[in-house]
Amino acid sequence: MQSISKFLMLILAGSLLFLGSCKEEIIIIPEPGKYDNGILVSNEGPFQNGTGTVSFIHRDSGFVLNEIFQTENNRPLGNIVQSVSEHLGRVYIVVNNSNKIEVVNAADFESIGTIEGLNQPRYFLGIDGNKGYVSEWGDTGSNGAVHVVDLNTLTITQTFTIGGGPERMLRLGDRVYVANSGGFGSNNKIFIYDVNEDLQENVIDVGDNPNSMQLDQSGNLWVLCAGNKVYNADFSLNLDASTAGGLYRINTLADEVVESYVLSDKSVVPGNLVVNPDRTTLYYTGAGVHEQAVNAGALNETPMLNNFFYGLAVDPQTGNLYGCNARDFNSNGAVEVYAPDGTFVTSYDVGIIPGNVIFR
Amino acid sequence: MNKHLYTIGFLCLASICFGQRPMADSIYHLPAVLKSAEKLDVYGGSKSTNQLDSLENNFSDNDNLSERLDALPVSIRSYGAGSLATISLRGKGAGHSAVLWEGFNLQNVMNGVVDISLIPTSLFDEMTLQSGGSAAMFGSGAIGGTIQVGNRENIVGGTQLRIGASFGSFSDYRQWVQTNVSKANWMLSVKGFNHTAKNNFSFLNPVLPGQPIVKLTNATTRNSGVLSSFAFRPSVHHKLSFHLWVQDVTREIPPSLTEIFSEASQRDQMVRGMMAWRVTLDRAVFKLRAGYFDEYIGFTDPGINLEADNRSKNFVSEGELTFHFHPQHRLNFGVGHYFASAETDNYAGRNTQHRLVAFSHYKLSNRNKRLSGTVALRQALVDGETTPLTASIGSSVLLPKGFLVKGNVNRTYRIPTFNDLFWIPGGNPDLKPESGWDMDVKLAWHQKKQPLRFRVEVAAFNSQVRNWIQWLPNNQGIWSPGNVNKVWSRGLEYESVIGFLLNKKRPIRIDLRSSYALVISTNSATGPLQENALDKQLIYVPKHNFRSSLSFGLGKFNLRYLHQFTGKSFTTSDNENAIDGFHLGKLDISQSINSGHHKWRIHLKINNLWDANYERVAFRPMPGRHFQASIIYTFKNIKDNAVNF
Repeated sequence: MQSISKFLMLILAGSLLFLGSCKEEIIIIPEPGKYDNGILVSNEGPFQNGTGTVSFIHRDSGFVLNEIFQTENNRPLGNIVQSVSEHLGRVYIVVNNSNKIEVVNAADFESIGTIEGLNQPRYFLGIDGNKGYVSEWGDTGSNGAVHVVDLNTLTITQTFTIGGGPERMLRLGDRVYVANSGGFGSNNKIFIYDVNEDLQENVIDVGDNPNSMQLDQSGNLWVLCAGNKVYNADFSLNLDASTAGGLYRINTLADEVVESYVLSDKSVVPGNLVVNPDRTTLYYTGAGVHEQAVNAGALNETPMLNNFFYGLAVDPQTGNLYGCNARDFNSNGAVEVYAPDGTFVTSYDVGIIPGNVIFR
Repeated sequence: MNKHLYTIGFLCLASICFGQRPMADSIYHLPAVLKSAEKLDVYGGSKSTNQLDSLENNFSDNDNLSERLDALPVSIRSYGAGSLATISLRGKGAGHSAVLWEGFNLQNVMNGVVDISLIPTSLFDEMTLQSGGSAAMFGSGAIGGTIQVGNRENIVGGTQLRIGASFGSFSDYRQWVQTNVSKANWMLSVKGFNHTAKNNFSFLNPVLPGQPIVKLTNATTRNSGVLSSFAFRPSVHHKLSFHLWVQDVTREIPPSLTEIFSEASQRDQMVRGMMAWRVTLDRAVFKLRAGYFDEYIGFTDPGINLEADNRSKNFVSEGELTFHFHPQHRLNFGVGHYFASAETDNYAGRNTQHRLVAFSHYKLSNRNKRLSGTVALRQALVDGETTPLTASIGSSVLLPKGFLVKGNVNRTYRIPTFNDLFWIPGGNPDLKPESGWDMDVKLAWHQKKQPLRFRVEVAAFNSQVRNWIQWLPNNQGIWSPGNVNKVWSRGLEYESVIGFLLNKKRPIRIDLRSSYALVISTNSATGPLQENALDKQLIYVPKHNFRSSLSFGLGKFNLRYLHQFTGKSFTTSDNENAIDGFHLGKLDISQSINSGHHKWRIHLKINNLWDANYERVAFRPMPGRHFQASIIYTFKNIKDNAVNF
């Protein structure tokens, strides 16, 4: 009997030793606020029959926790998690094909509620403690809208139907700029809303299919346009009917395009405009990753990286680039980190089809 | 060394060919009944087959093909009751199994698949599942295996009528009728069916807050069709036959668990016609066949403003000459021309294809037919471009004491689908056909010792497909197919039957059947973005599949319990995500009453007896326990001196 106990003790000791050797992989994140110090990645999930997820990358250790919404709430998020957005202690998770936004407590990811009644939502932008804006494409891709949402009741209070696939939104002072990406068609407008009155204030024409925007150090608004792509009968791009993508600089005092740079290759579909922490250098995806100094005076068409990234972000603390590698779109993707000079730093395995990265 | 091999080979051949006395009467007689899958019947003796038509004897007559195949250890990817279902045979993809109707391939030229949930078994007398590569016999797409359906053209003289109706849970109503009238030199058969179902079953939705029980919405289906066959024998040497199959399907596409609702629906309409002229001479048979296939698939989703109309048309013509120059030798040659065209907004430019095919089969058997060998060759030209020369060799040996050994070595291929070639954007007109090889060996043993009967079969297979077509995004995010993967599949199959039959006034029957398949199918080479899929199991190919049934019969009463286990299957190429394996139980009870030419049968079926919560495709709910009751009436008046043709 005693020898059996000894044997069991030995096994126990052995397994403890084994655990000890794995110790560096076990990171205990102190609660509460376990998701405070890190990076959130939204993963769309498989196209038809799946759920998207949110991954958390712990900043100090680099440890990744996948499916944190599922972990904390014991249910999946839904189909196509388009984006995550943080606002006043909450995270808003936009679930495109499930037509909803899941609202969670930012610190522990526990569900607070759900914003419903949406139609192919894309992005959330918090305005103040009481309201936020939501962009959505609508069911046809041409009946897109911007909703004003009451953050206390999590209900829609006002809707601007503007068509054209409203995409990213950006706030400057009392104004919100909305890029109309064209949805399933083509559009070339930036809509401007007054956040105090919730009224449309102005519309600016830019290139075809604007999808993302950034502010530079001088307060100029940079708009990235994908261009409108039309295909020929022989599978080639119809060069006459298609338009090139490009970068447009807008003077936000005059609401005018003051500078425009058009890509020479019409086949490139640029997207994901981001800016470094000093707001002096823009980056975007296209034929690889492109780098553009805001005061360069000419378009730099040589990519700094040749990777195809599905999403792109810049860490405001380090200036490092975070590229979303969706691999074959049917397996876990990776977030790859590159220094501003293009050298590879590290990579994190995240969920299926990572597309949006935010830093906390 | 070579010389020795030749000598040995010659001696072996000699012992088979010349070791026999010449037969006094060397006129070859046609078999009494010609099977619709004639080629498989004649030249496929070494292939692994399962008769699907007799699989459900005494039970269901109103299954669709997907429900029927579920009794075998094959993997069926079903999106739910009434929704798309495809089959994966021996670890291959949905486009790697050909469904042949009267020998014609029904794989859609646009997407390469056949939705087996749309094919009702009540339209056919004969259904066979053939596992393993057989592209040399059946052409492009027959990589994992084939399912062959068709009708016997029995000119037997007499009348037969069968009518069936059933109702089941979730407003599932099925009706079917089979008539067969035949006189001295002709037969006419008309089979029709109608199936409507709401499929509004309840299920637990784990995605919604509080995980409520909800009802499936937007899942109504209506499927109806008619298949008529006419055969005419103007003289003892000639036979003409015509088949026309018309079917119309309307179905709503239910939302997945992660979608709030769906308004999508799909319409499938098929017109399939074929005619054959057969000339039977003393030592030769000449066959000329032509087929026309018109398939429409219309998909509508108001939710994303999508209306997609897809129509494809195929014209097939084949000529074949078979020589029986010696009772132990049979040789045939054939040529075929296939023309396919497609209409859709998603293609531009060329959307037609011409295929020219030449094929030959040779079968050799020894005098007592215990030993046979088959060689098949096929060469296709697709729009003037050659595809791999496809050959197969197979042999079957009947040993003493009830043992049988079969083996095959095959080349296989599959030409790219129209979507692969012509889709805008991304379609790749430079794609090569997928090609591979396949081999299997099967050992079977059967023994009868009244009142018992035993059968045990064990098979092993090993195969590879190169240039496997995979759609991947390019460096600008545009999806395009490439010949990037290599897939290696191997596995084991086991089947056993123990039967007990006591022939009393009311016969007692007990049958225990068990079957198991182990399938390991992995990517042995992958494309540039699929490094994580290397050496991983293919998605939706469970490694383990097990079926077992115990049936009991007493006179005209039958009871059966069928147990199915489907193992875990991965849902992502890196095998990081999976759906759990599941156990399903099914109970069938039937009772027949005979009276002269008339026969009545009632049948009660309980599906998913243990009320398992399971998924075959991730986030697509499946129904819990549900019921079906049916009644079948048969009238049969067939003359005894019938001549089978």
